[in-house]
Amino acid sequence: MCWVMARQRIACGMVLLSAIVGCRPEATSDRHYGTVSRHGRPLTTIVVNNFDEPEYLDSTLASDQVSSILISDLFEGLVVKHPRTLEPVQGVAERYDKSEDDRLFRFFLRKEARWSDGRAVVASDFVYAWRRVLTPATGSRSATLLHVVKNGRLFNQNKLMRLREASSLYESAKGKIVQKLAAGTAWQILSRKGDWAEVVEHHDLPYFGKPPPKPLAKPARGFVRAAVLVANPDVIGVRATSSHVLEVQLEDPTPYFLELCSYVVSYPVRRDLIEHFAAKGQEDRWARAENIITNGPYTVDDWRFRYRIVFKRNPHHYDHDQLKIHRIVWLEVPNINATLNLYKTGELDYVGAAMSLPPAHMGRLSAFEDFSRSMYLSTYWYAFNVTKKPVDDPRVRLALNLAVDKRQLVDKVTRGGQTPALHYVPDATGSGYSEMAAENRRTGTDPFSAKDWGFDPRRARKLLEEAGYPVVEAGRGRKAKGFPDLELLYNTSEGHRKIAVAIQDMFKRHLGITVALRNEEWKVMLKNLRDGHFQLARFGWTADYNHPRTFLDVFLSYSSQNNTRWRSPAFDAVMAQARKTPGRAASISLYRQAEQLALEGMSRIPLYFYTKSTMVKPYVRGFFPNALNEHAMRWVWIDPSWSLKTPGADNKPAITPRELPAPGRFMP
Amino acid sequence: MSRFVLRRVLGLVPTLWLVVTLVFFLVRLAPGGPFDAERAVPPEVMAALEAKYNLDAPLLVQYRDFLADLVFRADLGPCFKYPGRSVREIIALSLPVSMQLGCLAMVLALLVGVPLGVVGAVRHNRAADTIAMSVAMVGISVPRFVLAPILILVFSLTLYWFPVALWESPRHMVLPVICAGLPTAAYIARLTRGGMLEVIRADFIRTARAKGLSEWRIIWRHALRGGLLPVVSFLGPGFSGLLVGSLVVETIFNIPGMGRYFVEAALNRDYGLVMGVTLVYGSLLMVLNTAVDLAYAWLDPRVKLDG
Amino acid sequence: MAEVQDNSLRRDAWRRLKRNRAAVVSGCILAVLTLCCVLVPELSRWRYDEANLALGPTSPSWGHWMGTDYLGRDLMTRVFFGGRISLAVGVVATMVSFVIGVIYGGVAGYFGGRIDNLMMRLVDVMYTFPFLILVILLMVFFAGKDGAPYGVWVSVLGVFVADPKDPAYFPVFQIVFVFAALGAISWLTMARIVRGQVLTLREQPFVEAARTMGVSHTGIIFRHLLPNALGPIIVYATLTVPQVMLTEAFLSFLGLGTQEPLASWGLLASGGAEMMDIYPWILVFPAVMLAATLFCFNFLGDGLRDALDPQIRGGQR
Repeated sequence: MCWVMARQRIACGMVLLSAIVGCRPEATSDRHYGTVSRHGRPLTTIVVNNFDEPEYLDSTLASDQVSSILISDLFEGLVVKHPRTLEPVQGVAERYDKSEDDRLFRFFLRKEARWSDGRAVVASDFVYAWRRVLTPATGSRSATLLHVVKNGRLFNQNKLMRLREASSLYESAKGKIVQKLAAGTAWQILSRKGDWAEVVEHHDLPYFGKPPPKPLAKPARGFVRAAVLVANPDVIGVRATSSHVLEVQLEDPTPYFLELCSYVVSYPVRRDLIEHFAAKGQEDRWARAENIITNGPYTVDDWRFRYRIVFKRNPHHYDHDQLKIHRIVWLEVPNINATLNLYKTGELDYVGAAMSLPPAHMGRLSAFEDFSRSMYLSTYWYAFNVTKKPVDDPRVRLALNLAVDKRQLVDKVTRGGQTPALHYVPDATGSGYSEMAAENRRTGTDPFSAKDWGFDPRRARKLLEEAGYPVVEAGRGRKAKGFPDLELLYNTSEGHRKIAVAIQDMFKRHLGITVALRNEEWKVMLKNLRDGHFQLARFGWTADYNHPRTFLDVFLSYSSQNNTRWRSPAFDAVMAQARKTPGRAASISLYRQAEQLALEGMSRIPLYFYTKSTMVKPYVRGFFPNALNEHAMRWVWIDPSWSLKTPGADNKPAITPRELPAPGRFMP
Repeated sequence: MSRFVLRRVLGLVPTLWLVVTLVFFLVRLAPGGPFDAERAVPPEVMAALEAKYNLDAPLLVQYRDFLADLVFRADLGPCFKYPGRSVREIIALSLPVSMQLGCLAMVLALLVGVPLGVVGAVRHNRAADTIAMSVAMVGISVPRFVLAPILILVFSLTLYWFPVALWESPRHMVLPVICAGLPTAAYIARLTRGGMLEVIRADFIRTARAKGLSEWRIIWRHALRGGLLPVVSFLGPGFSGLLVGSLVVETIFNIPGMGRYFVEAALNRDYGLVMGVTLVYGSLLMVLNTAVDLAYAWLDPRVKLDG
Repeated sequence: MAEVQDNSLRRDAWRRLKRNRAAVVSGCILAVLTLCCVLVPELSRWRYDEANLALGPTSPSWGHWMGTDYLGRDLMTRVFFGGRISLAVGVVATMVSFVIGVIYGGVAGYFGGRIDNLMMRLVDVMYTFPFLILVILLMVFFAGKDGAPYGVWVSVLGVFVADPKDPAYFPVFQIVFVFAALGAISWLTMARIVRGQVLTLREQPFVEAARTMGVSHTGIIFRHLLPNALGPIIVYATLTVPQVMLTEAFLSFLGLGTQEPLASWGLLASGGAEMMDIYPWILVFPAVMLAATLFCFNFLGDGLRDALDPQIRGGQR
């Protein structure tokens, strides 16, 4: 009571003062963090923090979140994610056909789709973009996502080429000629030596549903002069059969392919524009504010480097008149305290998807109504280098895993409502994974139960003793006798540091192991991870697409992301089988099996599954927390009469998403 | 005098060359490359990226090309982190902002620091001195990353006088300038006091005093000139340090200045940008130091400008 | 003869210093603080790195006089433990800068002309060096366990402790590198100031006199020029201590200085500033310690300055 009065008195003083020196937000309430006044901004303008400067607005090159957020409002793919369910809905494509085994797709493009200069969006725009992504010289860091397209991986790795001219196949480099070769045949390159390349005939070219060529009994193999080989993107399984029909052939059955078509890497780009700037040797400049041409609902209006980007509506977009937000102001504020202060004083409407709230603030902020939280498809883990002592011993790795109290970690350190992770793939993962996880738990057949994999220091000590390091009581604590030096590497950040210190304490307390902490800045740490200069290192993985495969692929023995050096032929085999298996249930259960093998190998200690917490003003509607943390601004609108309604009521997208009709059957 | 200036300006060239060469090779020795990212890149893609930025050439060839571009076209090459932006453009966008912040902060620092120092010296070991120096010490001993949140808490979130961040209107500039300028003001106050104390005891001041000139006139007309010598010494490094060293201020208030690139460019292994900010900082510093030497000569006729 | 004069000068200085109450008090506070930093972490019930996640951050209480930090570690133990590192970094790096800067600046200023020009250009070059890169390179190349410096460190440490390879000592070794980096950069301004002073002084009649009397260059620099230039030098040295301590904090903030679970006042304060509106005590205690120390260094420096200044010998104040 006293406090309230004092506050009111202070508030009166404030009003007086603010009349003299500046504007003070009029409307504050205890239910929301800071003011809910918009300082007279029009209802068609929204101000969002996008954390940092985007690296690229070129969808074929972007690989960071900040760029992707902007690009997904600037450009539009074949399909678009439904803001609430994340299921694919119509984008540039109005409908599609597919084959039963999820290998062949045909998209029918919308006639009224337009670039921001008025030109129609055509199928060849997509073909050009995808070929550009997969061309090695482009240097796209997201190209691996399109490796699912027929021959995409080989082409991207510069290993699939055609003969420029008629030539000869040699027995060995400079050896004798085995065979005359016709121009235009395709060859897979096995290795290169100087002017020569060892090649094998490649007949597996896209056939788009036509009867496939018979596999050769014995493909020709030998050496050719490297100079006659030339990269030709027509070996990739994507083509335009007419101006508005796009056909795709994939390497393997890919149930998540349709979803992939909503990802930034699959967006179309303008060939004429890029080539115009490439001719001047300034290819990168096509995506600058003054040059860029987009096909999404928005286009760039103003761009102040490292400070702010302003979007306006794309005048030719088919939803131009339905959009409720006409102007998006993206601030680039990397500092969390500045962001929260801007939000508090009403200068920001939304903290932004790229900004994470720090654990220390979580408890306080979560009490407000404008706080929002959702599961997020990302797993935080500590990776072992399984070739280094003492963690080359699986028993030691298992013991360390069992000694981590993950529940306490998320409750006391990260404090973001995260789920303690007993395995690697987040339970919320789609494509049938979450359903199967729930089903397993219900029937008591969960392979990742807390009983087997949860915190258990006693079992951990027993394992450690078996490995030859008996844990003895020493003074006020414990000591693992003879345990070699162990160092934990993490990249410099306050959040990672807190977790590392907590884990260090748990190892000391439960196992008597003193772990040294080393932090390095990100680039240096990545180099050391790649080179294997670590024993235990912080890492994690965020889903590229909503399917368990995105998490499990990094465990493959040949994956370039597998820094742990953990190799399991059994795991690789199950993964290969799962990949070739059509049908959701069957393949997901194989993926679960593979995951179990990975967990038993314990190349990484899973710590927790992420959540995303953010702050968004109560008047922002059409905003739905989701597991991919994607919030396209085309769905969003500002409700001037929000305060008259119950919180969360009337929360529907600004534009009604257009459902995709059921796919037709793919006929050649 | 003009010969001295000329020599100094010509002397900048080899110095800058030395700096450029040193930095060129040192950044490339550091582990980690500009294209390391979370998602490991296939070696072929990496090769393409390196070819694009001429990083696959032998080091000496890279060096030669870099120098040629720099000397003949004043071109520092592209920024790796932000393709489509040249290093020159990034500096052109951010340097003026830092200059604005730095100049305002220096003006503030001088306006606050010099009077505080003079008061401290004139009222040596008396209450005014203790108070002035205590104020200065608060400025020195509170780090900017503590000072800034306190200023924001008081003046923005409680009193609503000034915005919490961003760089738009003069009102946005008040808090950052105070935050950047106060610690410098404290240094200046200390140096002024030290220098003034030396001068006040000098014979010519005693003579002036004996002549019965008023105390403030003595300070203003005679003592200040000599007493400010240590401050002048400090101005060169102090000013350029203020320009680029306001990293904390720029971060906290989200000001699009150049200070942030000092740390960032190194962390990102953005070779061209590291070189760019080093060059700007270096030449700025050298020009300032030359200016300081001239000022020294003007303030203290006893100093000969050799060479 | 010079010997005798020097001794009396020093005795005079000591006497004057003792008369300066602020300086004496500051000196005492510093001594007490140092003693606390040595003793508290040893005598405390808690270890500086002992986390208690179940407890979490708590405000000051009887059990924890300064409260606990985010991980439930006793803040008082951490603050005084951090004091060891902060004080060591500040004092050692300042001493390094003092020695190098005075010699370098003295020589440059005294000889003037081409030597001065060359030496000062060199300083300029070093100023323009992006010093963060220097530190990163240093930490990355030489601060690893396979680098030669670590071998030296282990053998030196072996004299004092039984197990010098204990991973707990590794962060200490990294701090030594911070000393090196900070010492290497902070002498530059010192050199400039000394040179500026000497440049002015060497034109004065008493230097001319000494020169005509045949005193050697070294003699003139160290016996005549430097003692007369000592005032500003000491003032600047006392300013270097906070500067170094703040730079260390800045480095720790970037993850390049003091490493967890070790602590320094700067590291503690920068961590506390991030959440000062929620857990103010985590900021207040280290920040107050830091400020108090810097205050004291400064008043002590002032006292020394007054005491050492030859121009007020005879005390006609």
